[in-house]
Amino acid sequence: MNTHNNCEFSEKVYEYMDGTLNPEERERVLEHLKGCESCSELKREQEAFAALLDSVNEELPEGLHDRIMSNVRREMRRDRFMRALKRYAMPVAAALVLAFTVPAVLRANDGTDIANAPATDEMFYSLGEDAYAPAETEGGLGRSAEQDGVYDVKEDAEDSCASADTKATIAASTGAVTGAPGAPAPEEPALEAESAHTDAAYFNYSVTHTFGGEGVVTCYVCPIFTLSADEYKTLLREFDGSVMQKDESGAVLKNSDKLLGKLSELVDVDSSAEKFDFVRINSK
Amino acid sequence: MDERERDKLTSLALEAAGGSESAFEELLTKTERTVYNMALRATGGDEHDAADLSQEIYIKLWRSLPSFRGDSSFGTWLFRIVQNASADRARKLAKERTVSLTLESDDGEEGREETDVVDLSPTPEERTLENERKEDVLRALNTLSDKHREIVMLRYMDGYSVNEIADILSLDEGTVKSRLFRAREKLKIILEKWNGFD
Repeated sequence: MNTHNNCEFSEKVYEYMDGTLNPEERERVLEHLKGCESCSELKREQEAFAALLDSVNEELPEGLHDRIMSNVRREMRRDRFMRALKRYAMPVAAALVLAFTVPAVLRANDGTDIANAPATDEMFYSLGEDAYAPAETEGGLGRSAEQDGVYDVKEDAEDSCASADTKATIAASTGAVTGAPGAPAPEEPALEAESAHTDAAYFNYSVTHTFGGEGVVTCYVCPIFTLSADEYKTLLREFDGSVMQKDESGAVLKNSDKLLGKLSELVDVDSSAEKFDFVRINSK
Repeated sequence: MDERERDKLTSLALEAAGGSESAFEELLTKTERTVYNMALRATGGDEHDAADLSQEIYIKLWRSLPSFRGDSSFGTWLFRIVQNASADRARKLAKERTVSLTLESDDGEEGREETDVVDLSPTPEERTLENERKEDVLRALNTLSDKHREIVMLRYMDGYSVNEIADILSLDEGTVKSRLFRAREKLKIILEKWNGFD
């Protein structure tokens, strides 16, 4: 074994074998090796040494490569399935949730008989137990002011919720959207004819959620309470809940007992207001 | 493995991270022998366990590929996966061994702990020249200190570069080079003494 290589390049030969030289240095070593038998012998020794140590390694058992690939392919298929599930099943699941939890929207432009009004390009949902579902006539949008005698329903065209396409998607997937052609209207409990409050109206507050990359619009019906400018400012200043939306004429606030308590100090608040998730306050 | 091959591994890993099955299989082909031997050492030479561990390692590799960005060398990254998988397996086996000590046999008698003693020494018929050399190398490796043996094995048996070894062992390159040099010289002297290594 060549342990007595005195050539000044011998250290560079080790570094060359270890791959720690830059390209320029590597070239210089290669040139040197052409003319130095001692360093060439050292290089051969190093290569034999590396081969000897590598020979201690066992060869891969037969079939192991295929077994490993087979397991990994199973994982790949599982991952693809989970991705597909997220992409396609989520919007359907979201639509099912919307159909059972979102309230119906009743509108009319001019207070005409809503039950016989033609369906507009607005989203409407069943309220479930709350009695603002549209009437059973085809295309009907719900009770008229005369019918329920409780609230005037105002349409706010600027706040119309969803496109006809979205409405159709939900109707197709659930068949439970009241008012959709062919969809049966749910049974609705009778509205209480009496109420302490007669000036309230509805506001449509819409939120767009994203499920699996698709936008889905949810509409909420908000009772409207109109306050003086000072009362409005004071309430907003003291309100510690979520302000969902704010514009020139008012704001949508997340409903709470505390909020209703404050509002009832300023205006009449019907007990049914508790059932709403959001409340609209307008400034005069 | 030279630098070009290391770069190739990194680009295959990035391709496989994007979902390419063929890139993953090529990555497997280039690394399986090294991984299997690391698994063999981790399982005390048991081929069956080493095969199982290798499969676990590549499943873990597939699952963690999305987090590989190519900032470190793929070899270093794979080493950590092998280390973690081996440690997990060792912990699991330690737990199972503890449980098995309290098992009773079916007839209600308290079971005795059984240890399988496997004689790995080859029979005279099995000792070929190649096997002799392998054994000599292993015995020679065992004469080295832990830190020298570790570096020699990473460099020559697992094929890691000096840079990668520095990363794996959290040492600077100079320290790795000098330890490698000393370990190599010691081994050569021992092997030459035993076998006239040249």
